[in-house]
Amino acid sequence: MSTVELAGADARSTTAQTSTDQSGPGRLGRGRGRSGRPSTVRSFFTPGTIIAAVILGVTIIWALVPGLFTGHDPVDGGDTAALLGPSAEHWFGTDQIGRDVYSRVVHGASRSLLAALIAVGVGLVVGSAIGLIAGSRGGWVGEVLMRIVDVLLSIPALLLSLTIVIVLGFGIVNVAIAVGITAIAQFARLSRSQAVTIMQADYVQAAYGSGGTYWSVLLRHVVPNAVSSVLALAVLQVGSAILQISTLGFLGYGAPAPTPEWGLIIAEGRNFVATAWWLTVLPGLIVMAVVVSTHRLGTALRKAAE
Amino acid sequence: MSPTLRYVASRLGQAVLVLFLAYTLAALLLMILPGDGVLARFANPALGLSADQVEAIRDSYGADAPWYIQYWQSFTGFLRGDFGFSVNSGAAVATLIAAALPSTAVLALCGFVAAVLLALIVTVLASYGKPAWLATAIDSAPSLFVSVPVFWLGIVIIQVLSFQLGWVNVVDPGPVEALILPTLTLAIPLSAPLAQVLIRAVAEVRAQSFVHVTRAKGASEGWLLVNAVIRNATLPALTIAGLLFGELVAGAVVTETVFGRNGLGSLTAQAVANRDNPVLLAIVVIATVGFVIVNLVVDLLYPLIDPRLRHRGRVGKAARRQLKGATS
Repeated sequence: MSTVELAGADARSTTAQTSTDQSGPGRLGRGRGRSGRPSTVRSFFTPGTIIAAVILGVTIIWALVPGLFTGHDPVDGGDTAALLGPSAEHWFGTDQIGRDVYSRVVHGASRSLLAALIAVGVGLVVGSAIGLIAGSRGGWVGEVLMRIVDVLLSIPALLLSLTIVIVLGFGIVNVAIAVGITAIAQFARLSRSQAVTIMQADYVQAAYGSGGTYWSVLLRHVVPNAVSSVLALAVLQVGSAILQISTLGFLGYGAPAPTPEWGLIIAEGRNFVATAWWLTVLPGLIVMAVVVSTHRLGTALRKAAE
Repeated sequence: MSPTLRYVASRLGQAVLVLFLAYTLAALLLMILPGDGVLARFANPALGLSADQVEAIRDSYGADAPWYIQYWQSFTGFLRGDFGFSVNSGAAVATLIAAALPSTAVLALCGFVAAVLLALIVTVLASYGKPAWLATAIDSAPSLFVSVPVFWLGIVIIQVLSFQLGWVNVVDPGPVEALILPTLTLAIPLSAPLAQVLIRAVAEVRAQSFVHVTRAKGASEGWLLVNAVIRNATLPALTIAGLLFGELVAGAVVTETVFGRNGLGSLTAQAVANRDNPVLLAIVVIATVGFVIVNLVVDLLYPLIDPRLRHRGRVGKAARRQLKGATS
């Protein structure tokens, strides 16, 4: 879901790279001039990216030390009244059994962020491995690997992740793995196109010439040169992963009931939509803010990586 | 064989191969790996199947045969349109899907048309809107809406349009009224990526010299929009058709769950909740066939729409490249 900014950027970078394919071997596609650095650094710190970084930073601290931000128990509401509106005491109000909604969102951050990291990790590791090998090896190995990627892409993402969830069983980690598998294809595509460009560079020829083996070239030249754009994609993917994981959580395949998980919090608040708007609207806004922020940062990083 | 024919044949062959492999992957995950565990559930007394019926179902799956025979039987069954039986209800999956399909098809069609209209309106306002701050504000809306959780959007739409403003009745709506809010929920996130691509394409086309020349010759902005800009901007929009199909599938699952509508989406959600592997397998395969066909059609349409892609027998190569990038 919502990987579109990225899709457009991919389309552009793929065409850019293939056009350098045709410009003959031994030419490095993109001029990565040193002189361009200071201006990219300056253009990276726009007000938008700073706000995005602050939002993400706060969310990460929520995840690490939730107790710092809220004194309320996320699972046990005690004898607090149910369905209180937002107030100074309960910023996001209380839910149907008197739990503080803000506290549930804060405590849910660790679960949602960790799941997103697992998902992106699976996509990154498996996808880059496929892509780097396919791009540097070429030949039938590359063909077979990229056909596998085509197959992963041919199944609509949500259905692919549901298939994995039904096989692995419910639970937040399984949901994260399922979402990660849908991200493999994008990492494979990007790292393959990176590897193809890098393999044509002079220094790779030189490394082979001075006795380098395939694996030493892959590890010492291809991986380090591909890493910046792959990591930029990873940041971008964190947002999509949070969105997909919360969707699966909302559908009820993630964490079981009392656990504070963002998708589940919204799902539980759904029954009180007519009387208690804060149960769904406020947690949803938080999810949205986090996703927008990672998209923003990911896009800025991608530009800086180019 | 002419280059065009060869291109069509090779794309067709690729599509068939990918479909076959996708079926194999789905069958491996949902049928072969779980093995007898799925079939054993047909014996559940709650299903109310007689021993003969259970035996007939087990026989149709080739339950006692080795896995490759089961795989082959299921594969040929799918080719015939026989998708097996639901573990949850014992009903034929084909019947369940046939019953759910019309409602989802109507919703998907309405959602898609609304999304295209919405994207066009947003594009025109963002590209030509006055005052400038309004255009900028609308320009940034799509990137916000690709980050909205669809399920949350549905709930908020119910809250605002139905409970706060009372415009649409969700408690006991008529058939058309019941379609309004789900269509909106489906269309807004769907239109966002489309609008993003269109806005970028319009900006690129407007910066090209032929547009300046035509304007200098006296063409009005409106004439340019219709005759030069929209025509050239449809191409990038087409590249994300595959992506939109995927969003439509995901959107249907979530929207039908939020609004409690019956259809393929809620059938999917129930199948996962009940661990109904045969139903999910059929839905995955059908959706994948749709997805692959959409991408194939787009691929074949490319050279027809853009004459630049027809040159020197390299039909569709650039198109395929672009498309692959866009759907990844």
